[in-house]
Amino acid sequence: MLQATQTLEWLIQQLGHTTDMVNKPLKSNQKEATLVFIKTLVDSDKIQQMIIKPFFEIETRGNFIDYLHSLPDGQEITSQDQMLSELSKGSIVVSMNNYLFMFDIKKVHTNTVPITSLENTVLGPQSSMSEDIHTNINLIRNRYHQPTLTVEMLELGSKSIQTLAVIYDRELVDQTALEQIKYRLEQLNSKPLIQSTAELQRLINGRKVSLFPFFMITERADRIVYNLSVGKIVLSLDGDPSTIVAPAIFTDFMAAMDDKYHSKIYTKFVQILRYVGLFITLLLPGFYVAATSYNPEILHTELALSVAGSRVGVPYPSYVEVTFMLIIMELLIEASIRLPKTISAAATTVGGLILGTAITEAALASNIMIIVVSAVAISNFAIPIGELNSAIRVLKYVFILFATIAGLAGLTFGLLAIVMYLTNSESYGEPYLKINIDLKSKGEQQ
Amino acid sequence: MSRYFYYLVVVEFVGSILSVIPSFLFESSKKGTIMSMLLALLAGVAFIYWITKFFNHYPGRGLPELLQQHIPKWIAFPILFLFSLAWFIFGLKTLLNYSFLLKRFLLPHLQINWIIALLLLFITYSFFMKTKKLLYTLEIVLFINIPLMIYIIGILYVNTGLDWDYVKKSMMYVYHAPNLLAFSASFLIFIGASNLIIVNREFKNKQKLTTFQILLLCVLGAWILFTNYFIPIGYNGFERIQYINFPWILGTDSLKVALAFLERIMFVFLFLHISVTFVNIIIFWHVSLELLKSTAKLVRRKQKESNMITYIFVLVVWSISLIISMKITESSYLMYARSLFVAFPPFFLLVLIVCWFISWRDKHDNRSLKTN
Repeated sequence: MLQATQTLEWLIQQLGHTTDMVNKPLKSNQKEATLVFIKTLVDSDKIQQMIIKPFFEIETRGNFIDYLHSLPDGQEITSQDQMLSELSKGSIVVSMNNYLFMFDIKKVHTNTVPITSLENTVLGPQSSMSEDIHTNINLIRNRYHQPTLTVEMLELGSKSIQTLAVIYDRELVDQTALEQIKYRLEQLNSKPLIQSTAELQRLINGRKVSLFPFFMITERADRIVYNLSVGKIVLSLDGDPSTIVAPAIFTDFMAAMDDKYHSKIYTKFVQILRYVGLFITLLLPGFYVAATSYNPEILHTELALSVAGSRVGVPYPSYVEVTFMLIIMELLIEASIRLPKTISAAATTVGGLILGTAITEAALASNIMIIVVSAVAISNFAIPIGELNSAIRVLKYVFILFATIAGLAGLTFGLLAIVMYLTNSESYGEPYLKINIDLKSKGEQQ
Repeated sequence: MSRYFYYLVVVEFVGSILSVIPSFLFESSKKGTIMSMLLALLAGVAFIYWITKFFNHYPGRGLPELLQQHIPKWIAFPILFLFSLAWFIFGLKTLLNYSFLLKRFLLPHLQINWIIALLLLFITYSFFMKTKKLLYTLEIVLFINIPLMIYIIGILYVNTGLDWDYVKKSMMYVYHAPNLLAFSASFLIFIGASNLIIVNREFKNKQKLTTFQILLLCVLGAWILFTNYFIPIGYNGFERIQYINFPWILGTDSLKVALAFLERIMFVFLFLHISVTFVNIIIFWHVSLELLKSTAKLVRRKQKESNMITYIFVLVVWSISLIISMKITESSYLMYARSLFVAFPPFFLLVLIVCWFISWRDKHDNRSLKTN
């Protein structure tokens, strides 16, 4: 008796300073009860339906306590601190005689399932994940009906106390990767606020500096389910529609979910197209520098002449021209991401004027340069996953540097260096870049 | 065999076309090159056969581990050190030829020591890679380059510029006693398999070299040797070809494919050359570094993992390459390479002898174990 009232008083005292805390005594002929909850977090209809109405309908005290015991939303009470934290997440505490009950009746405004906005596909499911973790787990479970699917709930951030779900298929998962990820998550206790999966991804990356993504961030339920079915681990943070998939290797970032839905030949065609895009966006600016300033003899004579012709009057060396144009392009992209939709049209028009013919007429860049910049910008977006996209966006400047130092040879060295770096990297024990050939005959595989 | 084994062999095949080997073959073109090539083909395939057969007995173990187990430390130490030095020299000779060629055809305005410094900058990264990761790199580089290789060689064979009369003329010099330099040069094509002394650590499954695979390597080796020698003759003529410094590049530069993205075949060839030779160097130096690490392990009591040896190796590689690059010229390089090349076949004989000795000791130890 003493304990329950004391706990309740302590809770009220802890929450007393907020005006949206409700401490409501109920009284019917023989029964008395107290409800404590935070009004802005809970579903008041549900309180009415679930607790207040039965309270006045059920005659005896014993029957009402039995009724409360039987409610499916009941939560286990372990400590005062746990109660406090659950209250701050949207639970209600019911005190009756010396019994304390706690129910999860939170009201969520973020559980609508939006249409995919980042990874669009032509065919296949169109809905993405929501910002509510329970809805997300529901979405995943509805697509992956396996009893081995395991969901582990953790809490992250000493202030924000966000729920994080670690989801994996118990039978398929790579145990070492799972252990490593859990270990890294444990190391995060000191961080006060973790608000997005992208931030979480950066924190558990384990590298101080990393350009390439070693986790995949996705918003598509079908991609998540596909990854679960091949033994990967999915991390979903409450309040963020995107989820983390680990381990992720280079080829994962070059795959779109459409690849599974279209016909095989078309898929192969699109995949080759993506790799062509990757090489164009990575190498073309450097190649332009190499071919205009270093080794013009590699091009067809006519092309070399027309490049040289279009550069007549351009006062700068080719690397300045390329960097200048690319930076204007990057600014344009940056501006159109950040600006409100109504203004961004103006920005693109103005930018289009600069990147269009005006800059060649002013002889600041050659005509061919415009083509190069546009090709680079377009093909950069052929890479399906955003993180690799941005890594490549940065990397092309490194290639311009190599080409400026050593022309075509520098470009090739740069390519070799990237290959070496990627093959040397690992994502949780899986080689990041590797050609997988399954040779059937025995003894061939190592 | 594991597919990575073929990569090691093939990268040496392709790399040979781009090295000084063809120049040395032409030097004695009227004094028995063809006979030497035939002999080298036999010797090379036999070498591949023996060395793979030996290492297939010990899956997952490299030469250092085997030496440590079966041979006293005071013999193992100089052997490992010598091997490490030899592999370092393979890398160095390739690097030097590589940078001469880069200077001549792609970077004429850079000084040779700058070119070497630029190359070493990229090569140094590979010293910190594991053997397995290096094999993955090798696979990807070959994956990109083998189609180019087939494209170039295909075009070289079908082009009308290839004058078979010169080839036939050069074949008339077949009945000449073999020449040592030509033999050594053509034997060097087959040394890719010897990288097994370290790379075998990664082949943990039981491997088997079947008769078909030996035949395949034999045919491939013969074809590469044939291409290596006769294609430049077909393009450059027979009489004065020994005076050309880079016969292969001049050969490919006589081709133009008007319909291709890059019109001049030479630049496709140079791209191929840059990447294949690059991986060639990093493999040689990786083996050298790993051998050095094992040598250091023999001496040190404490088996502490540290990168000390790697840093020392980096320092040695940088200083030796840069010092040599300042002193050496193309002609003096050819002179040194000539004497080095002659020393290579005996060296690989030594490698085989060491292998044979280990397997003999192994059998001996087993027998004494049984009698005990």
